[in-house]
Amino acid sequence: MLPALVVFGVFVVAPMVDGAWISLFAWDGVTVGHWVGLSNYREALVDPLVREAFGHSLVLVGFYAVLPITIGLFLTALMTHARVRGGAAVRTIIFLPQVLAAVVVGVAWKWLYDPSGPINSLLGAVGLSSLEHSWLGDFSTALPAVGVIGTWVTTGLCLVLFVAGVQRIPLSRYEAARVDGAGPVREFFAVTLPGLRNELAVAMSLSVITALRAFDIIFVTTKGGPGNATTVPSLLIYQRAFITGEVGSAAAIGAIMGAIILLLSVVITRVVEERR
Amino acid sequence: MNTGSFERTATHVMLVLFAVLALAPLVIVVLAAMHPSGTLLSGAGLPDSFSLSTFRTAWDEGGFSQRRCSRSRPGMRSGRCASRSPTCCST
Repeated sequence: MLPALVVFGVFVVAPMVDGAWISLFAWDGVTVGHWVGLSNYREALVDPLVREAFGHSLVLVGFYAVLPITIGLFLTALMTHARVRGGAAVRTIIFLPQVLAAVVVGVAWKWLYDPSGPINSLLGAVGLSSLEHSWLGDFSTALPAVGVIGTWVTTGLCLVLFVAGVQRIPLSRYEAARVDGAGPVREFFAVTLPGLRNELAVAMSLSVITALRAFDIIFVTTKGGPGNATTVPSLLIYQRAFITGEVGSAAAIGAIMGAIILLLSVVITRVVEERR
Repeated sequence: MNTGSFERTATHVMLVLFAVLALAPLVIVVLAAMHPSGTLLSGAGLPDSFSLSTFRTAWDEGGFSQRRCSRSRPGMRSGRCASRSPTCCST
């Protein structure tokens, strides 16, 4: 127990405490910082850019968590209802983006979204030239475009979790539901969904956390642009800590983000446990 | 076609559709990598001639051959490494 506590203390608790301590200073990362108390937090909470960044994170939760979970549940229901051949292959293919490095994913999708890239040329080829535009350069489409990348990456994880969960549901429940005359939809809501409660909680926690701390894909594809259209808290932390020399402010945003992630994780776990 | 086989076919179609959506970006990127170095890329078309030159460049620039040599166990001389890149296995 003690070695684990030491490792946890040195590598988890100490950096967190250090980060929280730094957030109480106005520090450029080089010269001696001076104590400002909670003013970094006050400034972060009223800063419109920080609020906008958290708003973007909220939108990304839709793409990184809600959509993948919905698609994952839909595909799981399909695979469960009609035990199809090749289900494992489909699962593997959909899981494939999960094993790729986020930087590789970002570079690949940046090319796909390029004004002269494959997506626009496919739209042109099917007669939808009017829809062609710079997906990552347009203020209105940049954030959803980045979100779609998140959906593409996270869906595989949700699907694998749900399929693993479904295999633990006794077949007798499905047989009983079918004997009672349940169709595919009723069967899903009466048997599959309640049986996947734990997996749903895990998928929701992981994907919400992924959405809130999204950095690498956004950094590679848009760097927060155009303007601040895709700026998220992680990117703000990076910019303030390493570019503009506002390390204290970056640490304060990090602490706020950490608290929000912790709070959401607790809420998700509580909700699932209460419904058990 | 009865309901059972219709459902099964529809399920297959949906699963294949999602698999294609998941795989398409990767396939497009791999196809883009197959274009000869220096080719101006546009769209998702097949290259006129398949080339692995970009992979060769990446392999060389990444220094993978040297890393492979330096990872070989001490006492096991790799003649292939020694002959291809004399500097990497001199120790």
